[in-house]
Amino acid sequence: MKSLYAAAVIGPSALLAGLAAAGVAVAASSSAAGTTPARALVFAKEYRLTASRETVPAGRVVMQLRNIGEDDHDLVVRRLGGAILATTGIVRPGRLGQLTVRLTPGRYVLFCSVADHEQRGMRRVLQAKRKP
Amino acid sequence: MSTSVERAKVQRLLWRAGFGPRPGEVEKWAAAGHRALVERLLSPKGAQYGPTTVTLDPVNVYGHDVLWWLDRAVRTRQPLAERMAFTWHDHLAVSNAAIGDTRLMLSYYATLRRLGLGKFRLLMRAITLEGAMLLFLDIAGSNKEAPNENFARELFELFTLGANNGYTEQDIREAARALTGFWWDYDNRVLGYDRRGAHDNDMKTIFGRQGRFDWANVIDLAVQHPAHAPYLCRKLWGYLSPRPCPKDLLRSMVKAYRSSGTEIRPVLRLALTHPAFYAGLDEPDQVKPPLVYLAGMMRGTGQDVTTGLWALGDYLFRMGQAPFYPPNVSGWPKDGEWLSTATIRTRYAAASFVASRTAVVPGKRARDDLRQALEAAGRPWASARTLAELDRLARTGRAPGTTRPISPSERRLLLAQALLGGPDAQVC
Repeated sequence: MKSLYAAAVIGPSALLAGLAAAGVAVAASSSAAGTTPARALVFAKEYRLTASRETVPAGRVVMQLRNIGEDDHDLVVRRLGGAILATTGIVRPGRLGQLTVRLTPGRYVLFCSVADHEQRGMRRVLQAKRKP
Repeated sequence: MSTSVERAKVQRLLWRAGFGPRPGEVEKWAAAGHRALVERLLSPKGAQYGPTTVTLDPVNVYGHDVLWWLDRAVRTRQPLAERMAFTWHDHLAVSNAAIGDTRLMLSYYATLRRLGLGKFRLLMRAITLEGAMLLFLDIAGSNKEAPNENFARELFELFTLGANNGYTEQDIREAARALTGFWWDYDNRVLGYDRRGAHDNDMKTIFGRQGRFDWANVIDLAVQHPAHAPYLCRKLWGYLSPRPCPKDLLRSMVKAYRSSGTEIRPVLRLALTHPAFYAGLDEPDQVKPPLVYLAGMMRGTGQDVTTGLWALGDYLFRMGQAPFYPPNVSGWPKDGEWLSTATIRTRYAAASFVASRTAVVPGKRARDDLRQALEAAGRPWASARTLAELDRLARTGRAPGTTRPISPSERRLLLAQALLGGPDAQVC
């Protein structure tokens, strides 16, 4: 299970935003933000997807899906009103899935394509923003 | 000149009321006296954490949340405040395995860390309003048409009074009514409270008292209950010692807790200065919880959470204690329950991992290697018998019961592994 704990460096703004929201002070640090993909973590549980962020910088994004529910789930990325771009494939309960996708600025739908899970609420909108 | 007894007292304090000593800390505080250390632990000064060069992303990368907490335990310069945050995480347990929202879990941690040495009443109120707790024990969404009893039940049974200790099923039902009215907006991540709609504003009777009680009243009634102070003080003692709490100490802890308006500091001061806390210094009997064990090895050897990240998180899961993931609302097991054939194996693997990253400077003579290994391992406690066996290994170059010679570098690694992962290293 090495991959679960692989070291990852992210843009400092995303990390600081998440921790600031949690009321936790962290020291700013530099990273090679221009060359490393953005990260997002999504938890799946019947029948809800909880994403770690609402926006990501446009470019390459690595998304993980942690299934904390009792049924199989997956994570699918679709441009809003457009085509499917990437999927994790089925992730069994208690397991971790991952996908990598390149997003241009715009809005995307994250959803679970298993059975009627999307209709039952397993759907989130993610916005990719142009890097400043 | 510090005495060996004073050193042992300082060791005990730093392990049981923190995450183990950093290099040089035991000598420093043994010279100042363990009482001075108690006061510094209770009223920390200066920076909260030592420096770091690593960037963890606990929100967006799975597994980094566990490493993030470990990193804070390793780098803390305010050991008791940090240890109490973890103690309250056990006592007021919430698991991200059920929540699936690390931002909420970090907010929950921040509250534990900020209020952990202050008034329990305020901590209990603040934790009740944390999104992680609202979701974990189903306060969010509980309304007057269908009050959910989960939180009310655990509030009495686990958080404030103890199982079947001075309350009835009817008290739980009435408290659940008082706790109605909260909701959580998943889309906008906003906590709401509908006092005039979903909240049950009618009269309730809790512990024989009547009123239009709300959530805050329920917390206050619970901490004012006669059974609360003895329950919480005994539980706090249980985190500090595996031995029964002496009656005189419990009486004084309860008195201090009540007279201070539920302050935790005076309770801990009494416990950490009582002779019972220092019982058995030459035969330590508290099993180090896995987070304390791993963080302590890293602190003692001067290591940071920098490389080999996946291994550290994996060790914590396999030893049975990954922060943010307690097994259930009762928290983690205690003391001897930590040790099984599986977890002992993992503990030794974790010690070997840390030892492999520890440079043991070769001694001029083989017999010096034990002294050098002790220094490199942070001078962990080891019994006289253990030290004698290890000394024999260092002098003869052979492990007890074998004839195979061991190379000097292998011998130094074995000594460090034995000091960090042997039976003596599991207790404090």
